[in-house]
Amino acid sequence: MKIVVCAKFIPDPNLALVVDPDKKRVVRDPSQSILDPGDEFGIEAALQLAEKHGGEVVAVSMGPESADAGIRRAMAMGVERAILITDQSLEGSDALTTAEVLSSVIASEAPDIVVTATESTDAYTGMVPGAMAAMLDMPQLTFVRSIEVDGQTVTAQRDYENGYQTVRAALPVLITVTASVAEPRYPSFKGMMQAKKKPIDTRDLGAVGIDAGSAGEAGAREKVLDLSKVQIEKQTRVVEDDGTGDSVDEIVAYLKHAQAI
Amino acid sequence: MTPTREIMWNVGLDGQIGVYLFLAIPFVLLAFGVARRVWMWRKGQPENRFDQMSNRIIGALRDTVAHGRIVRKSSLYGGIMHFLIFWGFVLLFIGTIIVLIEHDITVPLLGYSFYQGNFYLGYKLVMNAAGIMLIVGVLMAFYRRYAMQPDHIKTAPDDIILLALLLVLAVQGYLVQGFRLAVEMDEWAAWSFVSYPLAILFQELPEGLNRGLHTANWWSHMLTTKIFLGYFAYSKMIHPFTSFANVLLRRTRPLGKLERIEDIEEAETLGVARLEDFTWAQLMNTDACMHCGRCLEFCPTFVTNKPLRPRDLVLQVSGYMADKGGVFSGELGQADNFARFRHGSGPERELIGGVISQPELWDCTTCGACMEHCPVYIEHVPLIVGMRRNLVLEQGEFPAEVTNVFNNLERMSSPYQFPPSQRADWTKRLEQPVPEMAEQAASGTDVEVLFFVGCLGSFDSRNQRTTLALARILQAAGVNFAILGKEETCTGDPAKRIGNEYLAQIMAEQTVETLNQYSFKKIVTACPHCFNAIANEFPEIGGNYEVVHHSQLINELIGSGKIRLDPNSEMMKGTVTYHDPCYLGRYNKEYDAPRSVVQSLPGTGMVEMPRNRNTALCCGGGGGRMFMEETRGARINQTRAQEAIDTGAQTLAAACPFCMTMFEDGINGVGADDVFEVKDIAELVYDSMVKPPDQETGAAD
Amino acid sequence: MASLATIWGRATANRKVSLPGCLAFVALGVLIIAVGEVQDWGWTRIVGATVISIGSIAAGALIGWSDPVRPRITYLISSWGKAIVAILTLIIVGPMLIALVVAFGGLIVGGAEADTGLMLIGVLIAVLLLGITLVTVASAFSLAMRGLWRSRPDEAGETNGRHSA
Repeated sequence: MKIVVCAKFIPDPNLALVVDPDKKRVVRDPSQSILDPGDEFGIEAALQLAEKHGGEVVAVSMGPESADAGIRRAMAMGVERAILITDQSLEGSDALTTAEVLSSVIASEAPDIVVTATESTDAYTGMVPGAMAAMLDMPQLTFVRSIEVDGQTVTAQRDYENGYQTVRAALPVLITVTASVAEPRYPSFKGMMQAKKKPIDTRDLGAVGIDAGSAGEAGAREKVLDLSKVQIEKQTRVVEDDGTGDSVDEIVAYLKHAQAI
Repeated sequence: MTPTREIMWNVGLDGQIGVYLFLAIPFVLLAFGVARRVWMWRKGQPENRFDQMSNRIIGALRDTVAHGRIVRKSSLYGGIMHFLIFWGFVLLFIGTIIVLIEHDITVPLLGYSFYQGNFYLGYKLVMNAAGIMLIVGVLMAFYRRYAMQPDHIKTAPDDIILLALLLVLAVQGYLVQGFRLAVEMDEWAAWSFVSYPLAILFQELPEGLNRGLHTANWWSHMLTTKIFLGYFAYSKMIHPFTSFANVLLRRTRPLGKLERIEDIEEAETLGVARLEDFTWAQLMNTDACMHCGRCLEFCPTFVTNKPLRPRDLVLQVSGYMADKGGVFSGELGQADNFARFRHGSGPERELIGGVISQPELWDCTTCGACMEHCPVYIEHVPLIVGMRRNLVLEQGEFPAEVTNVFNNLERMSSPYQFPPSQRADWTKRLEQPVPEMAEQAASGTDVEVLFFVGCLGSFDSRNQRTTLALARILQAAGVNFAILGKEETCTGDPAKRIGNEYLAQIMAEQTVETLNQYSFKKIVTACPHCFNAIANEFPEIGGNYEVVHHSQLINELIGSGKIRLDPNSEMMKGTVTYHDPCYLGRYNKEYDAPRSVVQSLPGTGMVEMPRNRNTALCCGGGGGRMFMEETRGARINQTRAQEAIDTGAQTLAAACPFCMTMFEDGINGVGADDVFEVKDIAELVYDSMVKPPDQETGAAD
Repeated sequence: MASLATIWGRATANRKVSLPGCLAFVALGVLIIAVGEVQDWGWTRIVGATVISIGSIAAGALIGWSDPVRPRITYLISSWGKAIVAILTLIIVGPMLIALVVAFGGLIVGGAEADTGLMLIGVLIAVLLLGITLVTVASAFSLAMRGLWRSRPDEAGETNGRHSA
């Protein structure tokens, strides 16, 4: 079984996000960037499948050359090899271009399963996996919290607000996972040392077969028009308990109103 | 007549030859046993333990012959018992050597006899007394094993066989002496004060019977010594060799320092997965154990009934080594050797998982109570961390909760998920700003004291109160200090003790690099873990600083009058008990400064918990345990909190942010949070000190 | 003092001693003692004892320092275990028990001129010694007979599984 996982190198979400107001784009400092924590769930799920059924896990990433740091992390976890598509003209690509680039590389690998996060932890568009499934002509199973493979069939549980849904599809398939699919392993030091020796196949746009003019900011079919800071308003309401028990009803009513319960 | 006796009285030619002839067998057995053990130790990795020989010898004599580490306040009964057996046995042994020198060397070779006159009388007196010492010691041991049965002592057949042999040897000696006296009845017979009344009794019997019984008992005694000697190396009686070797070749570096893995990226094996991965000294360590159980008495995992028992861990490794060494796998009493083969036997076992289980390795809080109380300097914690290192670095196996700690350390330079930019946010709550090292360096301002806040003190809301109190104390006392602010990083202590040596080295090197950018006189920290790392682990990576714990600095400030304590302060007038942090007390021997601070608090009494100073029970938070779930046995923090509450005090004085967190939970856990509280000594001092005008309004939190 | 380690290394590297040589040494020592005692020479004792000690210690160390072979000797000891314990116990405590019991005979046959006070102390000591010997030896003997050669638990009684990390 061959599994392809998507791995994105993103600014550390735990640090304050810096936005370039002119370019209307997140400033990506490689020294402050990490492998998308969301992708780690998919990588872990893929590794567990490969450990159970045999096969190889290949990481595919699109990003600057420095993104190999993120790929090494995936490799330290156990990913065998990786393909990194890096090209100056890809800068500023929109979701559609990203999906085109990734899926054309993935198609050349002819995997049985493609695993991605539900969305990236920097841009949060959540559009790339769906687009890729269409381009790869694969069924997509989204919001998956558990994956079972039996022969050519995949059975997955999809997370729901109030439970889960069991769905089945034939291989090959594209799966997007949630954080409950598996607890990502912390790479052992030995894994980190081994990761240094694993192959990363770096390709430019030409090798992928996409015209540079249709990629990057120039080819983007969506544009960021404006960026503004989120105003977080803290609303505190103190309910005094007067001993009658009314305060409980009041709190419950408030929480219902806020749709918290 | 000059007092003396005929050596080999009533012993025929057979006996005169036999006494030497029968030496051969026990000597072969003994030499084999010792040589095979050393042969097995040599399977370990190299380590230099042959430096500072004169110190080693002096220390070894102090700790063994003079019983420096054997008779202790915390183990008086066992200590006195050992003293009696040891000195009874040694005196009798020396007595035998004296007779040998007289009989085989000075008389036949030099024609000189000294075994007479006053020397002889004194000799008889001492030997008879030594016999009593030996017997009393053995009986104390018997009483302890059969009647007192303390939790930390378990009895294997070997223990009882040895005691019986020692007792029999002494009794035989009295009898042989008694029969000779019964026949000879020297004028000075009464000097042999135990055998003399027996001789009076025997005297009534026919001389022939006495001579016959003398011969039988002489032979029996002679053969018993040989049997004892032959059994020596196959029982715990080998400890005069192995334990003495271990005390002599003990570790001389600070106890709080865990060895680095040098050139970690090139290292072939990471940590300890096989017997051969231990150093030879560590293997010798395990053979030096004669299971006295003192490592258990104050061990938090033993006290709370967890799988890890440091004694058993050591014996398990030693049993595994015995299996590898071939002959000892047939060791006598194997089935009842309660600890050696706890997890089965056989040389093909895996070390981790086969000899020692993973829960045992993860339960350790690295509090060092085992090492502190081991009379023969066995180092349990490095054994455990060595195996943890293999699990983490090579196998990537560790409690799941730790993953976040590692990730945070890697990305945020602290075990918590807070961005480094927020590290100095606590200073915003102060009345006066706290300068950062970078600012001071840029403006050319000298800094005297660098306040190393630590991760818990910076990010954890409860421990921030300690940090604020200490900062206000320093400001009030006019101390010229600064912090590293967002440049501060974890010293690597939790990672190191969990076994992630790679991450620990990165963190430590990063911290040293930052510190080395600045000049200051000394570092103060409220965290004993940071303190220990800076004091003991940084020097070898190029970080040489004077570092003090905040309890030491505060004590100094009170002593010099820079802080005045207000007798009318609103501070609760009550009783305080103080908990010794392991990394301050046991590891760095600071027991007095924090106590002196607590005692100086106006209107406050101080009581000690039953387990205090070097016998203090760990809070359960060290060795990375604070970040792990405690799933086995009773909760350590609750056990200790209850001990503190039982003193009748209203406040527990802490001096460590890890302890603080553990006790906040522990006090809640036993449901005493409305009557009992934990406060750092900095908070206690700040609450009761005379505050400068601008701090008037600032409560400690 | 790195020299100590060097000496250690050298001592183990030089295997010039052989096992038969060691045993011959022991035999030589025994011979020296036997002849010396028969002839009543005296000085031979320390010489013979030294030769025996060197020979036997060297022999033991030599075997101990070589690679372990599957020890048949431990099996032999194991199979004869109980008999060995019984014989050794007899050698160790037989004569002393007889002596302590016979001691009471002294009380019975005791003449009129005997110092009864001292004799009573003697009896007291004998009773005490007999008592503690019996108790300790009996516990040791029963433990040895019961436990010494029972085989070791190969299957761990306690949980030994790797917990999921």
